[in-house]
Amino acid sequence: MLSKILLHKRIKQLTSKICIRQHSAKENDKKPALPKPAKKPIDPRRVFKIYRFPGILCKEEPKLQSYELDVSKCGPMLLDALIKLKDMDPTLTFRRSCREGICGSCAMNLQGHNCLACITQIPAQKTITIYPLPHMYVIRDLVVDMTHFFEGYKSIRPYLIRKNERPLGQVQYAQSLDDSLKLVGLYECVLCSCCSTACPSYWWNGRRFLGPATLLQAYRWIIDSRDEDTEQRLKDLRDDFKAFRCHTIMNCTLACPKGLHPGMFIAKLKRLISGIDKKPPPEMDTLKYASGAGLDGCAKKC
Amino acid sequence: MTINNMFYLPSNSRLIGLTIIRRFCDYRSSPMQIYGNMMKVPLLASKTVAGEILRHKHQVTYKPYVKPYYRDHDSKNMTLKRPMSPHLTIYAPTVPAMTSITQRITGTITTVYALLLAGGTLFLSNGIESYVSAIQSLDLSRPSIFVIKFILGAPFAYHYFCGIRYCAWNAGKWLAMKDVYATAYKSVVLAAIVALFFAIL
Repeated sequence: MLSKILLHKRIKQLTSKICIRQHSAKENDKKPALPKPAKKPIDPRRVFKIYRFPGILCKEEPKLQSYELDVSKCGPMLLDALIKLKDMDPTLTFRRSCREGICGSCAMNLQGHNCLACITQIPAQKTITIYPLPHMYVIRDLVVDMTHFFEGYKSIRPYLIRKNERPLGQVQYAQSLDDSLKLVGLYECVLCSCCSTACPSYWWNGRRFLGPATLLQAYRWIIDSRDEDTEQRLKDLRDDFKAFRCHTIMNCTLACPKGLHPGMFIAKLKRLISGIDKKPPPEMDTLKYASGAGLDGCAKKC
Repeated sequence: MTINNMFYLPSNSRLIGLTIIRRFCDYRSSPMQIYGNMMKVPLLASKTVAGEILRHKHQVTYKPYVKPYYRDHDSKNMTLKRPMSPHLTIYAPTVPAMTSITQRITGTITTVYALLLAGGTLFLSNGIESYVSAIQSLDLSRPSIFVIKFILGAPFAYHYFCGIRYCAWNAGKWLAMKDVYATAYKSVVLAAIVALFFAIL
């Protein structure tokens, strides 16, 4: 019971340090809200302007197509509206999967900002403009080629690396509570690429610059106390393009649909790469519970 | 390390191959033009009768795993003639992004100032003072001089105060979003004040 209270307290302490993105300083106003004049409720019949490109086999130029939709007849999220539009026009193409903001498939550009369609409400505006993710090659309509994004992600070796590799599943690697709380705000990334495609630096240098999503994950593996390949990971990022094309434009944090803060963690990553900061050693022995019994040992006791 | 020579390995070496790939993550294979099933791969197990390759309708054939040839992203997409999705023209301007680009623009302007001053002192035969007196002889009115001095001094002032934000970010400070916005507004206000001061001087 006591440990639960301490855990709760610690989580509160650490999450208050984690910066939850806010769109503007105005949201911080502590003054009591003045009575606002009653706004006219917006007409549910909206106009959706969607970027259409029928594919390379049709010799047509990309264009914006307008659809009229009554949003009171569909769910509140943008994905619901898109599915309803697909009922009307089956040729409309977009990626979607989980409908709950965990897969990252439905990333697109809404009213000029990147978002996940399944967790973004239909904005209270008459005209809703939807584009695919910026500066990506368009395969069809809102579907873009994400190959270089994933290649960059794979290149940072997003898995645990130990000096003495043991077969997977044999041993659990222990981690103190504080060390595991360091990963809060890093592991939740769904690799939707909203942040990377919002970054102008990634637009201009997308092939060599890794982008905020990948750099966030690189930082996640570097500061994981169980990982032992920190030196090599930092050395890999030590060139002019992989990490240091970031100019702290901060568009990434504004775009993240999960509320993560890539900008801050990339600044910390840059300090680690340049050697100004050092990764602290793990707070507890990683192999404390590595008796070597593994899963077989557990099964025998039961 | 390439995986060219791993095409015909028996299956128990695949683990070694996987760990090597894992270490080096190199995707180069022989440059075969691959467009999915348009490419014909010679079959390993097939019956040959009088020199002809006969394939039974339901015969199972095993082919070694050929990693798809990884083409450079841009060359692949440009050959396919896929359009680039719009970026600058459609992305909504945000305060941090706009402050960042004006920092870059004011940086180039102040660099041009510095280069002009340096180049002028080096190469002008009459010296910079002659140009200053030429401008003075234009006899512009007081308000227009004020405006011109404000316009010329504002880039330097803005770049200076925005630059402090960048130094703070490198030090790990003011990285929270509300701090980013607050310091952006403060630096614009301070830059305006200092530019006014330059204009009054």
